[in-house]
Amino acid sequence: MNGLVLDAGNSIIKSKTFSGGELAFPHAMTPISEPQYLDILRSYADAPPDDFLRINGRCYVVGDSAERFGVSQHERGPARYGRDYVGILAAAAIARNYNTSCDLAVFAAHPPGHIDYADLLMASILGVWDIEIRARSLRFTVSYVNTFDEPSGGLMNALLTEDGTSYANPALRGQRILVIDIGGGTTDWIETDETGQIDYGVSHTEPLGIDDILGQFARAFKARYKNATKSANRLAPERVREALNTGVFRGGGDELDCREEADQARNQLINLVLRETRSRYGGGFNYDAILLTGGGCGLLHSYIIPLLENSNIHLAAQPDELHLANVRGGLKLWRLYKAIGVIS
Amino acid sequence: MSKRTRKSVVISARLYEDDPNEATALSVHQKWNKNGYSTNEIITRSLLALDEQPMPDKPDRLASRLQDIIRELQGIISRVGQGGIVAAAPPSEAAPGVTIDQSLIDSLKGRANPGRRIEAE
Repeated sequence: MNGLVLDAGNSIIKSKTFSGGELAFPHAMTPISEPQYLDILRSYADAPPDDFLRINGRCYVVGDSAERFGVSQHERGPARYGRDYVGILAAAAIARNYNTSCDLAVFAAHPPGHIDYADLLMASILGVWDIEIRARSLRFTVSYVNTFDEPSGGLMNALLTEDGTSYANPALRGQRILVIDIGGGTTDWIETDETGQIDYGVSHTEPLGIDDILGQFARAFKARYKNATKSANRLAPERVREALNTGVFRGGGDELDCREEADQARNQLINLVLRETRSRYGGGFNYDAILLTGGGCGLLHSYIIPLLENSNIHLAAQPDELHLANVRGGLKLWRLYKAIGVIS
Repeated sequence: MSKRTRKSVVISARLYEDDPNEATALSVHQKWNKNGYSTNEIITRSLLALDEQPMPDKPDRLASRLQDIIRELQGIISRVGQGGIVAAAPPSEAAPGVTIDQSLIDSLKGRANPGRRIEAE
């Protein structure tokens, strides 16, 4: 069966096909008019990039090109769970992953705090999608949808083998583990007890993620370099992400120091993670291990690890691949669900 | 009688023991402090003495950034040396094939929803 694990996060749309192909693109989407779309098609001698699509009769720019397009529609939190928003992003992810029309299943991730919206998420993706992409017309029928929560995906990626039926990392078996997932728009926590059970009763979602501190950083940077940036209505998102990580902003042919602004922005999220970890979960000392997942941990793990009061801290994937850990684990969870009969 | 408020500025700095210069500065501070001089007095005397010398060139940004990176790496090496694991989960190829505990399966089953299927036309 064809299928796709999808994490339509607030910052990056991540996907992994059941056959293993991985794809990530920025969470950015702009509906455009038919004449605009046709103009864009005409400007390419060959097929236009994957970012330009017609989906069920309407034209869109998604991903990198939508970021460059300037004005991008960006819904956050549960507001994105609609057929005309997350449905479009899911359809774009499907069309980018498959070259031919097909029926498929989608296993979609959501923050644990959005469990009440799982039905809405499934309804947004299920159904027929007629898509024009790369100068070809394709039809995708999403005949089955199910959901999982993002930090569980990270946990499964660290815990299970590729087929989802054995422990890949016995060091984490039988451990009381706190999973911290820093995403684009939310930070989530779940925990397991010594018997391996995930205690969903104490899972928690805070509506603050990497996107928020990127925005704060961009404002502080523009305030410091107001002359250099006075005509820049917006800063290139990929440059902002890079600068938050390196403390140096590449712009106007120069390299501008912004370590202080990057530190201040990072500290806002780090302080939230520490405060919630301590007040809700009693701190890292209460756990045998801590698992960090999500793209935010990819940027912040070196700052957070020394502060978590635990010497047994794992990453759910390599640091530069942490944003993909949840979809990788989602595929393992899907295979486990199949093996134990949850999904027929 | 009017109350007078003294204007002041707080200066704070972190001194690293693994930096030879800062470690020496720290021991100088401790020695003077032990002899009854407050941090305020020590900093004031030091800064006044410093002002009598010609100002050396400030180390460039790259050198200072490299120093930060070295400190960060030393921290990571030290944590790993103390038994702390700071690494990604091992690749699945290294899997020893231990079957999943029933308790984990039960908790996943309890959480799973049936999903949604497209209705037959």
